[in-house]
Amino acid sequence: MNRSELENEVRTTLARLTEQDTSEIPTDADLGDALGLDSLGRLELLAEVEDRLDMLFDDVDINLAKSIDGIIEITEHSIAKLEAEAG
Amino acid sequence: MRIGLIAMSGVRVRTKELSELGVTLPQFVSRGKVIASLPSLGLLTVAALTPPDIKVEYIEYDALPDNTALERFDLVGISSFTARIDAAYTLADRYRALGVPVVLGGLHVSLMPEEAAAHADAIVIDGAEGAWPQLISDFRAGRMRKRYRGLRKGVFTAGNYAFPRFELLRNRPYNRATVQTSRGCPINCEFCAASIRITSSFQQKPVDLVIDELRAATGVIDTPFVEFADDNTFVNKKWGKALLREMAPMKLRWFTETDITVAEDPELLDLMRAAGCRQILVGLESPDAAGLRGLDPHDWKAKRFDRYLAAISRIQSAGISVNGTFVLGLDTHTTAVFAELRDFVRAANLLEVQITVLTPFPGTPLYARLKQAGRLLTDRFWDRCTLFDVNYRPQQMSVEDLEDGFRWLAAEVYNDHEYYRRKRHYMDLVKARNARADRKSGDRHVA
Repeated sequence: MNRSELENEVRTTLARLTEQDTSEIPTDADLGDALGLDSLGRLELLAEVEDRLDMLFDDVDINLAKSIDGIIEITEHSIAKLEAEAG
Repeated sequence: MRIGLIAMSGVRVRTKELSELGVTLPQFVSRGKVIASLPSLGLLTVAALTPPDIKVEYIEYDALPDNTALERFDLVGISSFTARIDAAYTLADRYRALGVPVVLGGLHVSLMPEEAAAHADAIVIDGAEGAWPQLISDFRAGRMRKRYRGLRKGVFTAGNYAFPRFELLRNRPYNRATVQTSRGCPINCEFCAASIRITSSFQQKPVDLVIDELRAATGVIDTPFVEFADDNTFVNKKWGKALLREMAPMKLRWFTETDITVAEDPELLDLMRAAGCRQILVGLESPDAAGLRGLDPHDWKAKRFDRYLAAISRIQSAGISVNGTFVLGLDTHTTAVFAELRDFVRAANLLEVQITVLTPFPGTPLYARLKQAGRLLTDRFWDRCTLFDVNYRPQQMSVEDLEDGFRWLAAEVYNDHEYYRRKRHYMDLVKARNARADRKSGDRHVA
């Protein structure tokens, strides 16, 4: 999955969780400020991303999921780690 | 005529080692920070009870610069918790030295009226309802009395009820709106220093008034989160369900305090989740049943201890996180309690945990009992009523044991590794809930 597809996946999941239009949210915007996503909402978002992409975030990365960019980065990091372990 | 209403919020941990702990373990102070940032609902109610021709200004004490010249109101009202009452008295004395009459009120004043009266031209005991309108009338007539007693019941009935003036909070940096749905709690733990001490019995606000207040309270804050200013919101579950059905279309996110029995009502849990409940705070108090015996008059909590773990699991599985609060230093607690509580928190997988030290707030049955037993460390310790400073001699350990054990436990519970573990568990619960929803609908779930 490339970055654009990942971004779309995250925006779609965010839209469903928050019931708001996320199409115009800047990727570096704090999701708490932009969408009112609280700490629980972040955990729910990450759980769904893990489910959809069949992967697990490193625990320490969970705190970095404050923006769309942040979520994409930790997702790419986790996928790369999985691929390295598989290869 | 101008009245200044001054709110003194929040607490500051006094013990140096504990305040340093807050720097290294941010989870330790996170709930304290939230409490410190809540507006004073009591003063918004006082404002509502003030005749409309009087200009009222709502002021947060912490927003005043240290050396600011005090504004000369015609009358000042100050409300404070015990931990900040000395600062409230100092402020009151400053105003009175300028010739500005001061009225003191709030929980501490209600429980220590003689002490408070020395720093005020008048005090209001119990709620403002039933007291403040008469006080204002008397003040205007030049015959304000030294003491006024508010209502201890019927505060939400027509004629007594006042719709809080939430609009006074407009353009202020609050991110939580606060609304009260009830006063009191039928459990009546001996250490409780909350609204039960100023009310004769549990009182419930009608659903329609709560909904109207929610609209007004959230209308003045951007992206608001609601914190109900209740001690036990879902005592009456039938009332609770009616409220939740009305709340669901409002798309709010909220937090409240309630007791563990919400877990016994799956419909209630579903309605809470659907109405936007994100977290409940539940007073679990002890990692063992022995610690709970005698805590409340009917051993209500002790009788339910064996359901704690299953109940927490049910609540969190329903999509509502639990902030479990514990009180260290109960009479049966030995130094073994610290490891026991750490293990209990791990077994329970509470997403949030609040550990506190038994605190004998003045006016509580606990205070009276410990005072009579000669177990209070000093006669006056109000600035140390922070829930984290030790003010009494524990029964089964020394003061130093309790302080050291508390710090040890805080490091065990609030370190990153444990917090991540609890977060990971919660994420697994989210996935399990989503999978159940998928199986039910036959589709990929919609949250």
